[in-house]
Amino acid sequence: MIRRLAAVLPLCLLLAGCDVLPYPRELEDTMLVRVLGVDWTGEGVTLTAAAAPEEGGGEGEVLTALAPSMEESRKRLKREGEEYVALTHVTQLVVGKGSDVRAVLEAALAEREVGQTATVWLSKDTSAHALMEAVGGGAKRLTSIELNGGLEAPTVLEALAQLEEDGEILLPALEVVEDTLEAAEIMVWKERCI
Amino acid sequence: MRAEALSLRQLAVLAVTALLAPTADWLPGIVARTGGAAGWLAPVVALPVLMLWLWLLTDLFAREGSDLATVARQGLGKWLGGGLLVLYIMWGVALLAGQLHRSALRMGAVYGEGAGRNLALLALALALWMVWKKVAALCRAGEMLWLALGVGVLGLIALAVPQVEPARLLHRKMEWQGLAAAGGSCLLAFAPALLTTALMGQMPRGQGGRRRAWAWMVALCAMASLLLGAVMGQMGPRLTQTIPQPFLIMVQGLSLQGALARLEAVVAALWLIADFAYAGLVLAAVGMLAGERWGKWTIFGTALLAGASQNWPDWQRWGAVGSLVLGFGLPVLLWVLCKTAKRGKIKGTSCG
Repeated sequence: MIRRLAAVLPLCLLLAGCDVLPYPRELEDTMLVRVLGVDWTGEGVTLTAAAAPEEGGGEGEVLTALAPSMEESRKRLKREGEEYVALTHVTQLVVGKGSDVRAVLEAALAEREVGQTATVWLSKDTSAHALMEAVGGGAKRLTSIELNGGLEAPTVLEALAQLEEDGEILLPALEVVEDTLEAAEIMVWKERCI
Repeated sequence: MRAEALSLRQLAVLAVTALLAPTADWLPGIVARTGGAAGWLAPVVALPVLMLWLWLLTDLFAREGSDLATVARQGLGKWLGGGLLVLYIMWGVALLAGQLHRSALRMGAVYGEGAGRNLALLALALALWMVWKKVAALCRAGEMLWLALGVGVLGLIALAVPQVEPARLLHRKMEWQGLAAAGGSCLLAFAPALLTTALMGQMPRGQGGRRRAWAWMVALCAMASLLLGAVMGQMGPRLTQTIPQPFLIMVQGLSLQGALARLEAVVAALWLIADFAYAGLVLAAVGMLAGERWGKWTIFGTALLAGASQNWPDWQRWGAVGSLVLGFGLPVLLWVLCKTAKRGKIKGTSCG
């Protein structure tokens, strides 16, 4: 029996393909995305990724990808970068003006890498892409707003739970004032009245 | 105590460990759907029925050396009783296939679909290996597995407390009428505990067995209720019923001041222990029900059939039907039969 099992177990691992084994990646060759901007409109899904700021000041790299669906857009985003693009450390999700917030939240929750722990923000006047491009990513500034601004942004899960229970959510909005990212106000997003 | 003897504690621990698998995979969605915001109280509602059920089972199997196979044969005769045991074995296949499917989905949500399916089969293969030789070894292993999973469950509950929003658990518009249905689904989820009675032939009956069985049931229901509360208190009843893996999503949000985060991969792996215990319990039980001669073939056949047909969607439904009829209906019927039969006609049961 043991011999038979010994023959079967490696077969199991082979069948599983390579994804059963952890794949080593060097941290220096990885772009850790901190802020993910999502514009979910009729034209498709635009993802804008801002990396964690580099040491010694300055904002990090910004990548953009447009595709018909979140999944394809994510794949395209990963191909854009020069390094491995990791979405496991996304701490803020910025949803563009006119986007279907529910669709964005559900897609983020279903997305294995992004998960539910990022906080959700709205872009007040522009698309998330335009907002993030204008401030060169804004990962550092957004973290500062979140930590010092006294604003409570809900996580993806909290926002979706609130949307399910009440049909609307309160989300903090962001705007660009003189090339700087600023917290604007708390906005209400209701279903079917984008 | 003989080397092959099993203690009540070992059987109880194996069942509790095994039942934590459907508690995490199946119960959150179904109790949220049927019970609404009060769904997390479903195990508490089911508890009185489960206590009564345990009272009946401990009465039915009170005689030293009696187990499901002997009681069924003595209660219903050789042929009818034998037929009933075949039904129990088929229930075992349905339960195992259903749990394998859920386990593959759970592991797949974290590790990718292919890996998920194979990790679930790996737990099955290990359980098959353990059951093949001696059931006593599986039950002894069960005590260690319980220790690992029990600590895991307590840790999860402790981490989840700060995340819970009391308003989601105690809603102003509580739907109390749905709670009975939610309690019913808990009964269906916990009915596989009956399979331990198939192994009870090797368990010496001692003092206070019923009280200890009750205590384990209370512990199981308390844990289930708290885990469901952790899930529903974080995401509310509506979201719980719409997303595919509410338990893992709940775990994803747990952290300890940022020191621990994204625990879902570890917890999904930890729950393989429950899958292993579930597969072990089912396989050991079908082996005992089939008897010495056919036992090993039945064990192998059950594992093979369940593993090969895990994606057949009707297994879930047949498992639930089996839980209702074979888990609750037939034990009651057997108990009534042996109570009403004339003294001396039915031997070997406590009430004969």
